Formats: sequence, C-alpha cells, structure tokens
Amino acid sequence: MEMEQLYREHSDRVYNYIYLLVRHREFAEDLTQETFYKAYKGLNTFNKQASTATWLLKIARNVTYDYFRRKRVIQFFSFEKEHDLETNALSPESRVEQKEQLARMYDSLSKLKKDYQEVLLLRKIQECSIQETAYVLGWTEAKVKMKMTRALEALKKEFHREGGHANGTIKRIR
Amino acid sequence: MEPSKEFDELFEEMKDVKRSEEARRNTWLALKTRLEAKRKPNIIPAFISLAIVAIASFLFITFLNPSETEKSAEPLSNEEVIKAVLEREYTGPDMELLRLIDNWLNLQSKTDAKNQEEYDQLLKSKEYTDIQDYYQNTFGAYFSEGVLASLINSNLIFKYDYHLDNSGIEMHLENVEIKQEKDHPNIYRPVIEVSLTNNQGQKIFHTLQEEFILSTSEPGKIGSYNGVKDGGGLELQKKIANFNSYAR
Repeated sequence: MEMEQLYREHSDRVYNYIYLLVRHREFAEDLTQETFYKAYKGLNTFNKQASTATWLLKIARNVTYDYFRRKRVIQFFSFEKEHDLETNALSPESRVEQKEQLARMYDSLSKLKKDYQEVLLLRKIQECSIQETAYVLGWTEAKVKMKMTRALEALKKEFHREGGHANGTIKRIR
Repeated sequence: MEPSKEFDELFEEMKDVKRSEEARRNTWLALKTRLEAKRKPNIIPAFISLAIVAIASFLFITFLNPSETEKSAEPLSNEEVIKAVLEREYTGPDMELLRLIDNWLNLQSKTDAKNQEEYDQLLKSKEYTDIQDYYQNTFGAYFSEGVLASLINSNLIFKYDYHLDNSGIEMHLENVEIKQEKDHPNIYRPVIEVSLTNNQGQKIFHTLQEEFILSTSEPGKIGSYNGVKDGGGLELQKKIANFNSYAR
C-alpha cells in the first residue's frame, strides 16, 4: 500500500489514540509522524496477523511508550496542557455540566492504573475488539476481558468518589 | 446503572479529538521528507569518517603544541562555557548519541518489562548507562551538580538531534552573540544563529534566543539553562520538520 494512502486512511485514528495518551497536540503530531515512519520501515515485515489499523495502533503505542520513557513520564491523560472540550451542540448550562462531567472523566481516568487506562482507551474510545485490543497490548483475550471489567469498576468508583477532587469540586480545565 | 452504559456518552465525547487540516498536512510533509531522505544514499558515514580523521589530526597537533596545552588548562570564562554548550547543542545530528539511543530502544523492544521493577533492571543495562555516560562526558563539565540530570530528564539538552535523525538535514552553529544582563551579571541571553543544510545542499538560517544563569555557588558552571519564551526554539523544530517548505 502506498504510504500516502496509508497515512490518509489511518492518520486521524492514530493521532486520536496518541493524543489521548500524551494530551499535547504538537507531541501527538510528532509521534504520529514517528508511527508512520516506523510503519514504513516495517511494512515488509507486516504479516497481516492483524488489520492495518490495529497494527498501526500497536506501533503508535510502542512509539508513545518510548516517548514516555525518554521523558520519564508514566502517567497518561495529563492535565498539564490545555485541552479543548467542545460541546457546542448543547445549551450553555448543559455545556458547562457536560464539560465538568468530561473533566471529571479525564481526571478519573488519569487516576486509574495504567493497564486500566489502556484497555479503556482501546475498547471504549478506539472501539477495538477484544481480539484487536489483545494484539495491541500483547495480552491474552481473557486478560483483556478481565481487565476491562475491573477497569470499568475502578472507573465507576473513582468517578463517583466524594472528595476525589480538589475542594470537593471538579478540577477546572485551563 | 451498569458502568459500561453509564460512561458511554462521555467515551463518545472523548472520541471527538479535533485535528486541523494544516497539522495533518504538515505532519504528512514532514514524514514525506523523511521517507525521501531514507530512500536516498546516506552520505553521513563518510562525513563521520572525515570528522574522525579531522579530530584525530587536531588532537595530534594540539598535543604537540605545549602552549595550547597550557592554555587549555586555564578555566573557561562564562562566555566560553556558554559557547561550548551551544556548539554541541546546535551541531547535529549527533550520530553517536543517536546510535546509543537506538541501542537502548532496541534493548527495550527485545526485553519485555512487565512492571516498574523489571524496567528498573533495564535502567541498569550497559545500553542505558552508556547514554548517561555520553551525556555526562559531553556536557558534565559545564553544569553545576544536579542541573544536567534535570535537563536530561526534561529533554532540554540534545533537544534537536531526535528531530534531525534520518531527516537528511545537518545543523550548524553559525554565530553566537552572548549578551550579559546589565542588572543581573550572572544571566546571559545569547542570540544564536544556526544553519540547516539538506543533503541537496539547500541551506536555511534561523535565529533564536536562550538563557543561561551561571551558578553563584559553583563559579564557571551553569546553574540554569532555559529556552526563552517565544525565543525561537519551537520554530527551529518546525523548520527541521518542514525544511522543504522553508527552503523554497
């Protein structure tokens, strides 16, 4: 497959995945570029064990991990950089509430164990199947199912935990 | 409410990550440049061989000349320290560093660290300590204690080599004008001019500014090394990534 076509078809998905991990637009673009560069170098060895999109997500994950290792950062979903939560379709009141819910969601996710964050990101946001998630994370399918159940329970607990946020309120997004 | 249903709406919101058409296109152009550079014959090893011969000759001549040797034993002035750091920082890509980083990344690819303890073991490997030694040998003499480690951890040193890697672009320090703050003599804000040259000989220039604060407790050592806000560092990274757009 031509590289330009590969990029056109999959770069947005790869970017979204990386962006939710690093929460920084420029770094996410850089890491997207790196992902496709590595994909180009490994194109000949791609054995179609998974779909092209899943294969790219696996590379993206490795590239992002390298980035975290270089920066010695472990935590995903950082709140340090601004992120824009657009909910323009809602009324002003609903928008504020929706933003707060979303902020609480990001905050809760950031407090979960890393493997819980990863499985939720792939299953619920990237909409990967259990098999695809297992491929990206290098886990068994049984492990994906088990982690997914526990991750959702942990998320629910964190999301509804009282006093889990500074001053009992939701951390505002800058 | 079942957890998986309860959060579905929020997960749905999280899928909607905005990405501008311009960013998408710029990333593709940068990627395309790298891919084209990779397809072309790499002449960098020849440059390295020549550089090694040149350095060996330089060292040979230096050791034969006692007055130069004596001179090198004298402590460097603050300006000389700053210039020495900038010469290393703005000359690249540093192929030795990239080789060491590749070794380290290859080790990580081959070794599956399942938890922090296993990763800590990896940090004791020769591949990792070689990188740390390289940082120390390159920059250690110029920074006060603890400062270099902090710069390494925050990617504020060797900050362009990763971008230059496989880009077919070489960066050179062309000129430095070191300005000392009048009211705060330990603060220096050099104006740095660098050139970027691609493997077709096209050359562009970029000027940026950084800040050095010399240590008060360890004279002659740098206590803080900072990019200046809007000083031009990010623009330099963009020029490397989108060289062809700027060269035209």
